[in-house]
Amino acid sequence: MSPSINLQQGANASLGELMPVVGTVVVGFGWRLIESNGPVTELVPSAIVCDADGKALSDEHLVFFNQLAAPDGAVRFVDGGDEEQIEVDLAAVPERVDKIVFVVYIDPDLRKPSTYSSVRSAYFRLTDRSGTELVRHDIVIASGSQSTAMIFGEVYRHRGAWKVRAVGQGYSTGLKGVAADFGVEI
Amino acid sequence: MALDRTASREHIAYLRRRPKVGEKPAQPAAEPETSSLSLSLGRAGAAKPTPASAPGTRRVHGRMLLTADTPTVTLDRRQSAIGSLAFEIAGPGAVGALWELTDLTAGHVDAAVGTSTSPEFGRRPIVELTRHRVVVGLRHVHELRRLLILVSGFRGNDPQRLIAELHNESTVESAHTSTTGPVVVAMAIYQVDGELVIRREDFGFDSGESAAAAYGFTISWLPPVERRG
Repeated sequence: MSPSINLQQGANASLGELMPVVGTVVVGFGWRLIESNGPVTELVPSAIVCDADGKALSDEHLVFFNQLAAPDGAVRFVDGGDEEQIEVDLAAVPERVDKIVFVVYIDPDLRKPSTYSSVRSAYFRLTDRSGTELVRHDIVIASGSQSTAMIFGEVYRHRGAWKVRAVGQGYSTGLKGVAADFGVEI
Repeated sequence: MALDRTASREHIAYLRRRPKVGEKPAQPAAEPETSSLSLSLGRAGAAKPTPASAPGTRRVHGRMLLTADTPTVTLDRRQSAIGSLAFEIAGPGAVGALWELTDLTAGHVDAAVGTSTSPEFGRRPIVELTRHRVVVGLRHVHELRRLLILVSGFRGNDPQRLIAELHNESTVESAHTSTTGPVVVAMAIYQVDGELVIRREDFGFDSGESAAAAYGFTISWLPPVERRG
């Protein structure tokens, strides 16, 4: 088994080279917040299952804590390590799915929702079902970041194989901006 | 028969617990054998549990007015769990709320009583009275069981309009008068398997306490002394 790859922002890796059989991967999210006595910055991991045009297959293909699985069941929240985990059964992902984008947004509560400036560190990683880490990306958070949502990474098809990319793209428009880009009605 | 609140309701998709890593998704239970025209309950002697759909229109677009004829709307899973739900009165008047959590802890936010907070999740009260609005934090919507929105401060027979604003600026509204009592239960909100069902009520009471009693709320929570009022 190859050792885990530490991906830099924008870099990608082929899952076929990291796993003997490309089956199920577990996407783990973690973060540390800057200590504060104020309201907690509520980071919410999610996955958006997209077609070849980069749009969500449907509104139900936004997978988050109140919509725990995509309709086909191939992308679903699981209980495990990390702060949150989403399991992707790559063999069961429908053909029309081109990529799965992993977004962590800050819940837009009316009462001091905050920004990524209150996040000390965050990561995104892929493991196999046994927990062996395949890929890790430590998110680059700019000092004073005004982002309120961020694409941590994506798993995508490339010439018939699955790859993973570290994205690290922030949105100052929050989940609303993400939803507009991916065609999800929130 | 007493309601068993601890029993798992696996037949309701969104109440299934999250599976462990590597665990196969739960398969639906086999249906009892019946002929296509049979009205019998099958071999097991019990009908297949049929989860009731939440009533009313699904998803709010723009401005929706609840009336006696169309009293109910169900917010979808995204509208029910993103950002905040804020209730306020258009014009003079006051808004308050009776809340109940899934563990049956209950309380109120009401300027007349001097309470403005409720138990915190993520160091934010799940229901809070702030600047003449009742704000509900939806990140922890699964903790909320039900909520009553109370309207008071009527001027004569002038109607009051209650507005519930969603995170996407869509609104659910209802109009009320004081003809049935100085405190009107204007809306009831129920969390049903992660979806919020909003129902127009329009029942008047002498006070918030009598409304609580009528709806079966047992007030069991008060804010810490230093944060009251």
